[in-house]
Amino acid sequence: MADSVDESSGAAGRWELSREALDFLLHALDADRNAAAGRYEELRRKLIDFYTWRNGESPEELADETLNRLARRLLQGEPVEKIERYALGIARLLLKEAARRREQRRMALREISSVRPGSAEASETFDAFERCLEALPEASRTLIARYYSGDRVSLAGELGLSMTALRTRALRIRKRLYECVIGRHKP
Amino acid sequence: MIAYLLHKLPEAERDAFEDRWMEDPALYEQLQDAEAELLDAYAAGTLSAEDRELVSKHLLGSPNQDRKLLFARKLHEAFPRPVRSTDWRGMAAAAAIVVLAGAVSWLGWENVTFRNRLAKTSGPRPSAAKVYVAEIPANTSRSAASSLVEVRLPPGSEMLRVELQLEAGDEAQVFSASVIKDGRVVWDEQPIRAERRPFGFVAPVWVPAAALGVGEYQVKLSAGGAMVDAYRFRVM
Repeated sequence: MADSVDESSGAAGRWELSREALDFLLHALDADRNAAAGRYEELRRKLIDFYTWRNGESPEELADETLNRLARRLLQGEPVEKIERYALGIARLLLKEAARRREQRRMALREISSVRPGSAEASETFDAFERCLEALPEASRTLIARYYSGDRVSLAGELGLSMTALRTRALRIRKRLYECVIGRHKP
Repeated sequence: MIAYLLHKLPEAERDAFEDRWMEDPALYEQLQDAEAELLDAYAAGTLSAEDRELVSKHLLGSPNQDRKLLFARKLHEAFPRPVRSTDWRGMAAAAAIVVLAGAVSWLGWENVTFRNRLAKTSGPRPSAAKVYVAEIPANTSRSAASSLVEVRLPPGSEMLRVELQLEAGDEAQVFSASVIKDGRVVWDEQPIRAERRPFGFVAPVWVPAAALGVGEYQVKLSAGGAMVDAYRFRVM
């Protein structure tokens, strides 16, 4: 099981993902190559969220390292029944390793206050907000505007939706808008 | 889900829940929705002080998460909620009452973004509400007590918008602010982006009136972990 995996993630000993290992991983995710690519992205997003929600430093890097280790285990012939569960096991292990390294660093440096990168990049990204909002279909734009600024009970009544259905619909539009803003998808 | 996101679950429950959402796409989506709504509430300032602190501690701090919060703030600015007596969300868009640098002149103020948005969308127009805006000049941290900006919140005010004047060149940064009274942080906010005014730039900080009492306050404005400036004002 993943919890028994003992691998160094230090820079010097880092294992690099080979093409063969990636193929193993993709095949384990789905026999169809395109579907496998979709599942790979989905799993990576889940892992990023896992690390984010568990306060992991550099969630993207940790997610990629998790996938690398997963691919390596598959290449080595490790039997994996539930791939998400196995990835989660690796992720928990990595989280512990990261926490240990952070603690060692903290002790060594006596905690230097960290600078949060990416703010300038984030502000540039958000110039896209207006453009993405305008690009939404009229019905979606109106719904999200009214959902956030208006009376939700009246809106649900007008649309003949339950409050739960209205919430789900509004949040789907919100998600599309966000993904457009960060450049993941067109609206 | 909220308990999971705010790290309120015991470890065993947390791990069991993670096992579930990792394998259940519908549950994962619900969790993403819960996070979005938490950040929406954070941006709107409707979370309790405790939850607000937990969101700051556990959900913010990485570039990816800051981007999500910026988006929530943008959404809140574009579509502010109508103001109710117990709900002060939407203040950013509503008509406001402004007092400049402690003077007695009162000016109307309206959020342009919101006005533009309303023109483009159908739907009910949010009702206006009063927001008290105090503009605090830079370099007030060492001002004599007698020259401090005095804030007199009119009855019914639910929000104080403190506009901190920035020194030229500071406007490109992304700030965080702590409002402090008697050495205790009573409110904090991040990220804060500069807004242009005719005379330069300000960093706006929204403070619920409920968090303020009579007395002297200090606002520490920081960027990238370093303090940019400190400001003082007095609530009368």
